[in-house]
Amino acid sequence: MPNDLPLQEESNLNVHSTPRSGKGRTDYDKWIPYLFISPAIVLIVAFLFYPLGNVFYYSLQNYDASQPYYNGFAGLDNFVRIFTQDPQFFASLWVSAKWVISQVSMQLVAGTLIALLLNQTFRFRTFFRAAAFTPWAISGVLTSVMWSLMYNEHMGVINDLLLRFGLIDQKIAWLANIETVFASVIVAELWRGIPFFAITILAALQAIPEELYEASKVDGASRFKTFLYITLPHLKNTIVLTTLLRTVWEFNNVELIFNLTGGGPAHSTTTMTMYVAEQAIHANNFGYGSALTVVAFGILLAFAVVYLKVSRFEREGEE
Amino acid sequence: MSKKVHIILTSTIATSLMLAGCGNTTDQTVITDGAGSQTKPGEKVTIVFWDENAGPQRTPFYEELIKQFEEANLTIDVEYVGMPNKSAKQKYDAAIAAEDLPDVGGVQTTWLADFTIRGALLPMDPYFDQWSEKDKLNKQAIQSNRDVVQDKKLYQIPNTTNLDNLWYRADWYKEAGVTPPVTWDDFFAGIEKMTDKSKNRYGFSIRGGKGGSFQLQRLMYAYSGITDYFDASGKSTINDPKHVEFMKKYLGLYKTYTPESDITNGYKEMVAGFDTGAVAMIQHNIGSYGEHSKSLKPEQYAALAFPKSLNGNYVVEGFNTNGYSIFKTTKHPDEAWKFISFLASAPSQSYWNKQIGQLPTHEDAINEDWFKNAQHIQEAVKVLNDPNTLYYYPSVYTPDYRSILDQVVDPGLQAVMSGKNTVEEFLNEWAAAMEKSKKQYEQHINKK
Repeated sequence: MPNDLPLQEESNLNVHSTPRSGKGRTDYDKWIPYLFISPAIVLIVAFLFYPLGNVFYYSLQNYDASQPYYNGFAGLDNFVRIFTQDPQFFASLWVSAKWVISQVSMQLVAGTLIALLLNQTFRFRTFFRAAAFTPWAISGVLTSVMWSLMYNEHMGVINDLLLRFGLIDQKIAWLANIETVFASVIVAELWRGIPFFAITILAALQAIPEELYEASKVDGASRFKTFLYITLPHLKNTIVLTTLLRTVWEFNNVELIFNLTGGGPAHSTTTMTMYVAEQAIHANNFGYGSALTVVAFGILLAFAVVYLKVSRFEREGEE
Repeated sequence: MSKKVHIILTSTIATSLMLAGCGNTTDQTVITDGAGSQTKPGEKVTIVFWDENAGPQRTPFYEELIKQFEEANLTIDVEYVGMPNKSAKQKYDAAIAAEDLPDVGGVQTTWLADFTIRGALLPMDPYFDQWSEKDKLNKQAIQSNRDVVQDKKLYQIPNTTNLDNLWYRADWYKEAGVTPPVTWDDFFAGIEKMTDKSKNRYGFSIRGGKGGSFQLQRLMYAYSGITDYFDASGKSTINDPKHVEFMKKYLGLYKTYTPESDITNGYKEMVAGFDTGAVAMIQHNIGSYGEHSKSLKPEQYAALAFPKSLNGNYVVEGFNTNGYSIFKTTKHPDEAWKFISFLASAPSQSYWNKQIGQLPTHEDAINEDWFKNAQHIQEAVKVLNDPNTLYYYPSVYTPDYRSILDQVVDPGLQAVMSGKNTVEEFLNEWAAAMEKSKKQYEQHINKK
């Protein structure tokens, strides 16, 4: 109805512009939206784009507080060093890949199972829902302390229980043994990460129209087929978005690994982000740390673009 | 907006969140010279003091000293900021980069070269030269502090000296009829004898985690008797065959006579192992006396000097002092010096060192009774007063000395303990890093 539009616009304008007229009124209307969003823009520029630009700038610099005599423009030297002279970079990238793949896949599967269970009707459902989500509400540092105490070789509850049940015959230093440390940290992070998937998938499950399940029941579909053809397609967008977010978060996860193992022993749990922290924060090599961050940024950006493309995220809506 | 652009924007925002925390917002540090206090006479000023090793075992004593100082100096308030030892250096580094420094701070001697080359500290020579007690401070410690920096000025006033030693369970050794070690052979044999896994007891605990490099280096040189950190040609002695020999014996203890978790042991975990009765002996310094005395009865434990080296004399690491510095950004250098001279005076040093169990640098303080009666202090004095005791001086003057220990040596030690690397590979890597650092430093000095 094109003829309605001018009338509607005019009536909207009249609400707030009675004292104004002519050119002044047009300028005011033109600028007022920018004024409203300007605080957000200032904050984004100050806290996102400025640091972002800084990281790119420093990635091209020699800026090492422990070797200040070499500080200055480095060109692509930091990147050349990363790809040709730094075996620790590839080692930490490999640890990151193992960490992200295992975390995201296991959290997704376990979170979906829990969400499906909690979506059923049973007694004390609210209590169990609250209990299942509790780990997500606990701070990362607290989680690390709790797990480090449980894993403690001398007084940890895990060794104590395993000894009592006769499953081990001597205490194990879970976080000190190169064979067990990675799996131990994985378990701790799983405990904290599963509720994220459980919460979001449960919310998505509740949005699936009940009529679809009723129709499938009438058609005689099995539970598995109902899950495959009704539940899963409706969960797709949620799964794509949550796995993307979780991949970025897990890739950047520092607090749990830092507090449980510090990246050790012997770099066996040093992920890419831990390595960035080690170089930029501990070694004070801000230039090299920034270059590593730029590489990590590139990896995540490429992953995000490819993943969204391959998963055809939100395609249905656009079509 | 096209879908492609939408995807790229979404991805960029998601991934850029990780970058936001990594930027360093300042360029090269530009710190101006402090030029006298900007205070009018009688005006009350506040100076900020950063304690680099805060904790329940130490902070209350600083609070008491600050109270005394403020009572004697009504126009000066001291704002105490305690930092855990583990993260203190990082906080200083960030503060130097951000030019947001305290007036006075506790500074380890090993940080001096790094801090001065970055222009963060104020030379204290004009104040020190006029101080009435200057001749009573340990001259060697003062000279070491001058030697360690490029311009040979005085940037830190030492108030405490430390010395690495062994702490052992005297009651267990006595009960087992084992004599506390006098030689290195005794040391290794005693550890084997004191291990009893049926009682969940280990003969020793290695510090394999953060800070382990410092202790390891002191043990190596104490064993070998080598006193040159570099030989005449500039080659590091870290990978000397005697050190290889020691390391093989020492790390041979791991898991058999020490707990498996030693590989990640920091200070806290190692001391907890000793104080809770899991291990019979640890290596630390006399400064952990405060921790042991709170958990164990006096008859249960004792300090013991390292055995004499293979050459027959004690070998001790130099530069093992701590003290206070004034930061260049201070607006109140006179008041800052007043506070430092108070902390370095005999009564303050006596009080402080008695509480934390370390050696004062003020000659009046070392003549007091507590000093003469403390077993662990006298064990340290025995070593320091031995006319045959020799010192070695690591290259703490290179600004990346500490960084090498933290970034190369600590993980390198773990790599050997976990079987990923050999002792030879580890020591060669350590030596190479020190040689490179020294060479770079000398090139820089020669350029100047």
